[in-house]
Amino acid sequence: MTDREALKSLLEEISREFPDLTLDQRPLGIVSTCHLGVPYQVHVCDLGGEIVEHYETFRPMPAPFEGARALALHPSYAFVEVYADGCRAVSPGGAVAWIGGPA
Amino acid sequence: MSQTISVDLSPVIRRLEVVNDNITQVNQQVFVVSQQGEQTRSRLEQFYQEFVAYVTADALRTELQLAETRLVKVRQELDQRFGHYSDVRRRVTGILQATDVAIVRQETMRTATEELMLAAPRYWLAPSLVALTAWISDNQPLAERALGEALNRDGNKTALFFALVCRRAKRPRALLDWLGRYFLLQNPQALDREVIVMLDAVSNGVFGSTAQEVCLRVSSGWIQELEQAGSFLDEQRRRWSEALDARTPKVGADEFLTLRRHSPTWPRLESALAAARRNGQVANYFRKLFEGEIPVLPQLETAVDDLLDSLVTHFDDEELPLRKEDRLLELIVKEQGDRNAASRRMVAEDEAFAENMPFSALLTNAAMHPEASQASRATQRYAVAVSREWILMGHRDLVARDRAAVPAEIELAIGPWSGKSRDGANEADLVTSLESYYQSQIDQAVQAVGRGAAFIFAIIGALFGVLVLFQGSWLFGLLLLAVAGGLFYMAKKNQETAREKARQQIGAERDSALHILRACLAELVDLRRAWASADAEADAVAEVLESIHSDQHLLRRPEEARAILS
Repeated sequence: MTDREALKSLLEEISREFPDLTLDQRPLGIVSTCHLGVPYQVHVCDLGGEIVEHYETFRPMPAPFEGARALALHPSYAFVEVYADGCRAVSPGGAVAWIGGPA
Repeated sequence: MSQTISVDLSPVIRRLEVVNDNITQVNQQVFVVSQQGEQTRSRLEQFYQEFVAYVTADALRTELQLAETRLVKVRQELDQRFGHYSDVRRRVTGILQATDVAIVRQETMRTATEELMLAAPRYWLAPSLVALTAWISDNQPLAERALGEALNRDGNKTALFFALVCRRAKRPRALLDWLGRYFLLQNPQALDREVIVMLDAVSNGVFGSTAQEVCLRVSSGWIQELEQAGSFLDEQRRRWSEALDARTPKVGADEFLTLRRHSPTWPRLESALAAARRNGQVANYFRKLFEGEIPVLPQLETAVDDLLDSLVTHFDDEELPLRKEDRLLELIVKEQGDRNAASRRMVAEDEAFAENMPFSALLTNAAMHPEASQASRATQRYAVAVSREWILMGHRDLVARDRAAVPAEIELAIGPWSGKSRDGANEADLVTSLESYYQSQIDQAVQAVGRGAAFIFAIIGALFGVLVLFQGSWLFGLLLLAVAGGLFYMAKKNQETAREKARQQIGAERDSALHILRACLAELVDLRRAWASADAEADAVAEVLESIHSDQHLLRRPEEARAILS
């Protein structure tokens, strides 16, 4: 399965699970550590553009994803959901930390 | 016919030498002036920094002195305006203890309380005391009238007061009646501050098991009611984040001195380190709170008297504005005159001085601001145990916020050179960059040092010499050429001297900058390590909180069976 197909299937799963969510309540994307190796550092699943993009250490992600880079790289978090008004850092155990206003 | 022209050029040569010397001196003076200008600028910068530091220290000193003076005045004002309440307050336990030992005539007590009634108009405690002495002397009509007035003046405090009095008199039925009345008056969205006395009685086991169960059931109901509001969890996360944030320590003024001076990113680094160090402070705070046994007063009467003292002393709303000012001034003194730091701490305690507040806020205040909320240690433990999940959520949010704000790249500005580093690993690149920057400065400075007027005179002299030679005057021509050669040599020598001076001066600056750069990078490595170690303490906070179980933190009195909070 390619990145794009996997992402599409994830989006469909989210829509099935949360049919009532309005567009602004959905995450804009998910940022997490990239394991492709040097020089790649993080990648973004852009849920709006339906693409996965890998970013090197020196290349900034577009706003508002760049603000989640430090959290995505921290070992305490599995991934970071980025919303229009903030982000949610999710730990491997499922605990969620909120930064910014409620989604 | 040959004619010999004889010209004595020695005065011209001497003049030229004088001119050349003067030009060299002027060159050197310009160089010295330029150096002095640089030194003056550097001293001015240093003087400015010292001046700013002096002004800041002076402002702190002045603020501290003002706060100390004002604190005395506020306490005097409290005493002047509400001092007569103290007389009434002292009589409460006086009357109860005198009744215990039966050594004061009832008539004396009645007269004393009636006098207090006249002396303290509008104060709820005066009619309560009249009712109490009437009850002791079995005067039901007077007791009922006085009680009506007391309830009219402050229903909450009067009900809680008589609940405690009934507990002291070991009248469980009446205690439950008074508590029932008290709870009927409460709105969990806006509780009066004296609810903390009820929680103290519960957590210290003073009420006894039956009343304790009633109180716990009611307080759980309050929480459930509050939770029904959609924004409750958001509020709790925010409230606890703020309460924990107020525990952020300051980074010592003697730490990371080089980075402090040479990194424009320092304010963000400092704030990130301080925030990470908060984890240790918070973990210790909760660890210490739950360490050791809380002594239980052996006599029930003494335990109730302490609560009565607290109820009648700390919760009168009229005194709140002055008590709030008192606390702010106290914080300014604690923060050594730093009003901004004191105000930040006060913001977190602000709710503790509100006339009423939601039950959840009351628990936060009891847990984190026991001085302002007058909560006992047992109540603090109870409040933390009940709020555990909210504290964990608030702490998680706070830690994530701080982690997101840690600067990844640190800017360094050493003199005119600037560079960036993440963790000091690019030292070799930065050293190369700094050296090449200063090399270009040296090259520019060397290029800027001209050959001076002597070189021009040397060329003119040489041209004249050649001209004269062609005209056939060999001796004079050779003489002119020799003088031109001498001048050229001098010009070249002076130029080299000036260039060498420039090389040495800029080279010294480069060496000093290299030293600062290496110190900055070493401090950056230390800072990243210190941050990582302090950041790891976030897990310790979660461990301490997760080890707390609500059933461990209700004290039991010797006369009661063990109480368990479900």
